[in-house]
Amino acid sequence: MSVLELDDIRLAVPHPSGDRTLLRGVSLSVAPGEALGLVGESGSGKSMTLRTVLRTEPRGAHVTGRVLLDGRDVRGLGTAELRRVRAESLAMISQDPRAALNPLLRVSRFLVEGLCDARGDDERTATRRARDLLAQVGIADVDRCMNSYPHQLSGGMLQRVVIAAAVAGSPRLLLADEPTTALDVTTQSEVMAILDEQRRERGMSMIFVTHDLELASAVCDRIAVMYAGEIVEISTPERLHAAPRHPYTRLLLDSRPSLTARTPVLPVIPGRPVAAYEVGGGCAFAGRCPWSEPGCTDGEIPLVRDGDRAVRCAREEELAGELAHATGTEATA
Amino acid sequence: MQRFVIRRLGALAVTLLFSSFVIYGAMYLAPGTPESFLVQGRTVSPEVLASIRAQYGLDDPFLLRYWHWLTGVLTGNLGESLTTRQDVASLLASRIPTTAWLTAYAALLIVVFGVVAGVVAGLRGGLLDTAVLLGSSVGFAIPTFFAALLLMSVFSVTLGWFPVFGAGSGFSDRILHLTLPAVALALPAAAVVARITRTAVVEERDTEHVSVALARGVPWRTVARRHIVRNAMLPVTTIVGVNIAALVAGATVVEHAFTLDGVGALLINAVQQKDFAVVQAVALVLVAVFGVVNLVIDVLYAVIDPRVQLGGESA
Repeated sequence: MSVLELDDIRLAVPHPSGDRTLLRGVSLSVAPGEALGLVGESGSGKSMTLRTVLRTEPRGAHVTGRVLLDGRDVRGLGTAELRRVRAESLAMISQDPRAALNPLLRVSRFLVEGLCDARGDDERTATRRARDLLAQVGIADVDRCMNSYPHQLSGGMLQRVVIAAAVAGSPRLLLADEPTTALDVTTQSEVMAILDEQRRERGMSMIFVTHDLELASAVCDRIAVMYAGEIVEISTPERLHAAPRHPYTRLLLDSRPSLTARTPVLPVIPGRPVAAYEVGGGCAFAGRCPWSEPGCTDGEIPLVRDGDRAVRCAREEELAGELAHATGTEATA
Repeated sequence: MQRFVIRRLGALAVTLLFSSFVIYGAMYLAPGTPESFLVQGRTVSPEVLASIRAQYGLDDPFLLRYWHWLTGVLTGNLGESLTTRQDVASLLASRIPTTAWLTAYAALLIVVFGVVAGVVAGLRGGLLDTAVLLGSSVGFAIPTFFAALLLMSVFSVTLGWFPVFGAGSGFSDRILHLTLPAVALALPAAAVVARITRTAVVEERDTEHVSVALARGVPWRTVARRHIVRNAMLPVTTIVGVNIAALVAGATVVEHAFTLDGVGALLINAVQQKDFAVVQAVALVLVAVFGVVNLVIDVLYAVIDPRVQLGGESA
């Protein structure tokens, strides 16, 4: 059974000019020990999808659909049960570790709090465990780190602290929301390696949100590509790179700079990203898609599953061969 | 920390010197003469007036008079009152307890009602929030002297729960006598504090570290106490400090309204009578209290927020 299963998650937030849809039916599943990458442009709904799992979506948001964590619907839990699930089964690593820690409290308080106040461990055991965890995430001077206030530590150090806190209770599922985006390039890979190692050691599942397709390919078992509040393609990194099935994925792959060939101009996806609430009927990507046809804007296009892959494109069958070889720029030319 | 406090006390001494000069100057330039008050409307010959002026050194140049006063203060002699011939130090000593009790009581009311109301409104929201917002608007809009009259007419005259005037003696009698004055004095400040506290709490409630703590399964009560209220106390400390420091000055109005024999009432009389030594002494006390309260707030700030470095550039 999957650790997590999202079933047709829809989310809308209130707005003066009527509710704004941010998620338009997200369905995915995460197997035990699996890392799933959630890739897409800003505003595509990646982070919001994570927030529906933790139930930290914006106040007043309307959410429908089911979030099954080990078969139990998180959306239907009462306050006390939700708190237990948050404390024991889920852990979140957010983008900016500096914002995640209370600036007025020591690092030790942050670490101990997650074990002590959230899970009910006793203070001494929690402190000992916190020290072990800091050592495990590669912090040399554990004493100094424990006694430091957040402003005294670097971003990379703080993100290690956050990772240590996240894995502390060996949760079933890690929710990582661009955990390295706010860090220096040099610390990024280190922090990513630590996160991956800790996760594998404990056999935890993970949803890894990023806009970096390469990074996601390096650490994830499967990748889900999101566009305008829905998943357009799910595949393994290898197959995604070799033969993308959705035009958006193809263009996303083309738009990253090549390390081997120099290109005079970096190819960009034409048009601007569409927000979920702006989507009318049919394919959300049709307006920017070089392969779109008049039929693409009619009716709802389903996410068609094929083994462990899935794609949401009306012309999937016809384009399969073309997308695997041609690039988007050639198609437009 | 120690160096910071010493430096700040030094700065306070400079402030006292400067303000004493300004106040002396203002008194000197203000219309009216002390001797006309001394003779109290009786017709006196110019010779007598002249002898009075000579006796008190009123004909000396301004700077010389100020210098006499200043050297006296530096040697521990606050001078004596022109009108009552009493020693200013003992005059102050007899008046300070009432004002001290009144402001301490008002300060307590500000902290208890202002901060608590703000915290509750900010954390709970809803109807309670609206009530606190509305109440604080009303509290802030009512002038202190009007509040004093209103409280007196309702609780003293009509209901007879509290005495109309006097400061009382002994602890419980004092509390009984000073309740209405303290409420009148604390009302506007408590309103401001409640509002600022509420805003600070609401702002803190929406920060990421708070939602992170909740998403980690930390119980709401712990999050509210440790992350929301504690952090919100930073701006609250500042505003409470400023308001408490200002109470000493605000006490003047209330003491007058409730005919309390405090420092404020002393100041009003002394200014009217151009009683230089008394005005100067009271002003020094007020400035000193203001300075010390602010110093305490700054130190408290560093205790609450580890990022604040005492003695740094910002201090």
